[in-house]
Amino acid sequence: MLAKSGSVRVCGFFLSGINEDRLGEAYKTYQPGAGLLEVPVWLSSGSTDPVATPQAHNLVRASLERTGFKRVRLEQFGGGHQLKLSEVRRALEWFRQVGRF
Amino acid sequence: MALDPGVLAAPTVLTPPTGAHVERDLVYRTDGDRALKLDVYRPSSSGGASPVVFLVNGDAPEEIIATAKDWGIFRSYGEHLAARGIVGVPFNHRSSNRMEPTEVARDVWLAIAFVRDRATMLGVDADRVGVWVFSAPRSKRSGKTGRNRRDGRSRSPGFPEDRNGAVCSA
Repeated sequence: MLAKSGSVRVCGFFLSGINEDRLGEAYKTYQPGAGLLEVPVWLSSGSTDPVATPQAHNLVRASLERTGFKRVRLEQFGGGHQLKLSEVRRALEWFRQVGRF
Repeated sequence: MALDPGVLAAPTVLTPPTGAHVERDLVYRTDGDRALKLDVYRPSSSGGASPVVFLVNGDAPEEIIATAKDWGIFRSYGEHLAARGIVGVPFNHRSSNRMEPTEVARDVWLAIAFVRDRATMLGVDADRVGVWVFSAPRSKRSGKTGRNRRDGRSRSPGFPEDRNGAVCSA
């Protein structure tokens, strides 16, 4: 909805501990335009995450790519179902690099 | 259905700092008799406009999430963000148990628009916006509150889950 409104420019999606592709579904629901498919998507997967397993993250990545997202990056870290600050920083750096901002 | 008040009041594991300038209960939308409110946690020493992060709680029945912005975890995150020079905005949104998820997503959109429209007054840089989306709360005592939809899935309105963020600029 935000993307479709045109009031903001979405620079990146950081998804951590995700076991289901909701982004692809949201894209199909709101149809914000092909431009959103260029937005980088960082998947952050804990190697021992019992809730959203590494395998589940692989499936999410495949689903996003089937939807048409062109810049999907899956990164694994040593840890469980948690956010890791260093991964957030890496993702933000990547977003800046890709988006040139 | 109710969550344990002790669970709702619990802060983040990392003890939250104090010192944010907090403006509470700003009404960003009304729905009949219900006023949807948000809080703004501002850095104590900010000299200019600060980036802002909106904290979107996960979906659950209305009686559970009606006051989500006042839960300990979102108060804590507001303080954590402010201590790092970022404006934190937790807010209450409605439940998709009552309406289409697209309408709930509109709550989120309106909360963001409300703050951006008042960026100068609230000390917010409207061009640097983050949206942090959480899954629904869980409690060992009350069960998985976010998984009570007819389709059995938990949802955050209009956004993927579990802990997710979008970085936006104008």
